Amino acid sequence: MRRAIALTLLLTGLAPILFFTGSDVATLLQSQHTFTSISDPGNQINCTGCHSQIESELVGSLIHTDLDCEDCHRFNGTGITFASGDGTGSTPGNRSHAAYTPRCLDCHGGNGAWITNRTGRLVHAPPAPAFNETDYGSDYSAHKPFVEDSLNFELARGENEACLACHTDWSLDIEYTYFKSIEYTLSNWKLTSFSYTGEREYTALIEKSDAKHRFIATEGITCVKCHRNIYDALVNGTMGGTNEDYLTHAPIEISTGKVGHRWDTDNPWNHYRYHYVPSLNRATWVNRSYCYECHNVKRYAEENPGDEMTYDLDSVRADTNSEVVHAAEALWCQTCHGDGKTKEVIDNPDHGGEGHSKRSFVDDIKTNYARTFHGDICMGCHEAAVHPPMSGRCSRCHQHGNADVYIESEPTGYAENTR
Amino acid sequence: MVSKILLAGIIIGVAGIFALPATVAMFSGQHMWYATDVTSGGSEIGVPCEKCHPDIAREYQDAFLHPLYAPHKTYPCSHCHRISGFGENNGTGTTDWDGRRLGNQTHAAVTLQCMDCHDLNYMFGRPPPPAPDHHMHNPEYATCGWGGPPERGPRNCHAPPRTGDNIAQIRAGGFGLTDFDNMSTYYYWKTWPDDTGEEAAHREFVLDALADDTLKGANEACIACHTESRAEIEFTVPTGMKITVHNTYTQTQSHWDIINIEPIRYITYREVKGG
Repeated sequence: MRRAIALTLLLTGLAPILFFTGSDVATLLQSQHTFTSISDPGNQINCTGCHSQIESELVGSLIHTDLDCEDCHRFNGTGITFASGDGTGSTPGNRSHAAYTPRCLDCHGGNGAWITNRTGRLVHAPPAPAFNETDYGSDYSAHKPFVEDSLNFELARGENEACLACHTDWSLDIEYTYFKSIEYTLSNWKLTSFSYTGEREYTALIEKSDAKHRFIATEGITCVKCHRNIYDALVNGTMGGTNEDYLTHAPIEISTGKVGHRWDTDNPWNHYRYHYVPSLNRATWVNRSYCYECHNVKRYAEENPGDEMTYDLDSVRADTNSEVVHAAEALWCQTCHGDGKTKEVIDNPDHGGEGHSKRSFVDDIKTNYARTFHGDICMGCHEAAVHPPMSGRCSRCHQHGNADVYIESEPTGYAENTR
Repeated sequence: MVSKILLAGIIIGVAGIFALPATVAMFSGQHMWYATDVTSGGSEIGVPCEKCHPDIAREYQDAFLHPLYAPHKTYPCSHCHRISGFGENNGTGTTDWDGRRLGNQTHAAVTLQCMDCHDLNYMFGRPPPPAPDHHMHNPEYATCGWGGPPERGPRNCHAPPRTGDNIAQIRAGGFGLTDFDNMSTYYYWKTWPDDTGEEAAHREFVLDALADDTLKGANEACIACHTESRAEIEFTVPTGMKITVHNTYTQTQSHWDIINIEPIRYITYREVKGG
């Protein structure tokens, strides 16, 4: 009781003292009157004060780690004037104030850009092949439609969606829609009927670290992550029973059939097969380098100098358009195997007949059928699984060029070749 | 004994009535008035803002010691909070019989927008006020040091190292806030015709700050970056994208189209800056 009375008296005494002496008012935001100096040229505001998450992403990146925020977000090659300084020579900023969201091509377009990195060293941002050119370069770049169509979406600046998809750790969910199967009749080396049926939906979920500022070097890009349907077609396909599994997208070259030659390892060009991957090697051989064999012969040749002589890659490279594409070439089988090309189709000499090397068979397919069907038209015969062992009717295809073909698109690749 | 005590009480009571007439004022010093008469040599800021705002005064004192936090440190409170000629306070207000201003939209101080001084519009796009009303001619503004001694503030309105008519040097642009349609022709030659803000990464921050009532104008955005004030920022961002790809084909032609690109896998994280 006494303690309560004493406490009451004490508080009663303190309250007026506080009331009469405590006239301070607190400012709404502490430190809001402590202004950061911006007198020097450039930027003195610490970007990572608000964007430390991005800083941590960049630390874990394989490239661009030598750059600071300003190198990209206050890049001076676009004509934008950023706010800088507060004395003589200061600028208010025009199209932007502190920072802008760059297009990747701001630095990687044209001839690239020279940038002073965070250590003060002048470094060169290389141009993105083909996409650095007017209208994103040639139409042979397989991903050109992706770049062009990205301009229609607001998720990122300009065509950055396309860049981010392959060159960063942003996760992807890609939903493809394409044809399910084709059927055609081959009569005496002429397609006398052709039809396509069904629609296939394929979803590739590519879960990465989710970090948009964790950039992937070109060498680290894995084609088959986005093109998982192709990988599945090449590696898994559809069970083929006692025969080969149905594996589209990996054509076998028809062998000479001569004694001592193996149909799955050599070919009439007298070198080890270029496309076909033996079953034991599929899981490991089907990678970016394998994709480059067809879709970027230039890079394949550069990365595999030992194959130059074997496959006459200099000449093959000249047949393709790989010099003028970004990552991959949208090509036809005809690109390498058309009339007059280094690897033009060769008929099996054991079976006689005109075969498909005559009458520009491959070139006609390119001319008369959409590119999306072209590969599967060839695979209707060149898929290993459609070659029944010991069938005893070699001349039907090899001599007379007669077949009724049904073949499914990736990833199943199931095919029937009958007559 | 009782009678002695009673007698002493009466004596003390009578003495008290005649000897202790003073009463205690409720507030000590409440009758010591600060001078506010500028014209007779009194201080315009005779009312010491620091008395009630010692935390802000302390920030300024600390800033003096830290070169990184130099901006505005030489300014008296009035330099920002009693600006005139911008239409926000009493610069153009009615005067009393002795020429003193009464205050109209505000009395002692105004809570200002950073862009009052730093915008590109020069008076927010309004024509400049006539000379008597322009803040450089306003006697209240003299204490900011318009020709005054350095100890009473920077010599020029807009602080060293700027000199002369130097407001262009403190302008903040790049947010597309310039009101070109109503730009004063008088100041047009000083405008910044490319202030579109179309590339500004923080433009939405500024525009949303303008719409928010927490602080005046876009001050939330200015303070977040340009002061040491603590800012807790909750970012909700996508960490990937869904791409819908469609192959369009006829028997003879085919091409790939990107039908849709949309953000996916949103995450929320918090950044804490300063404080």
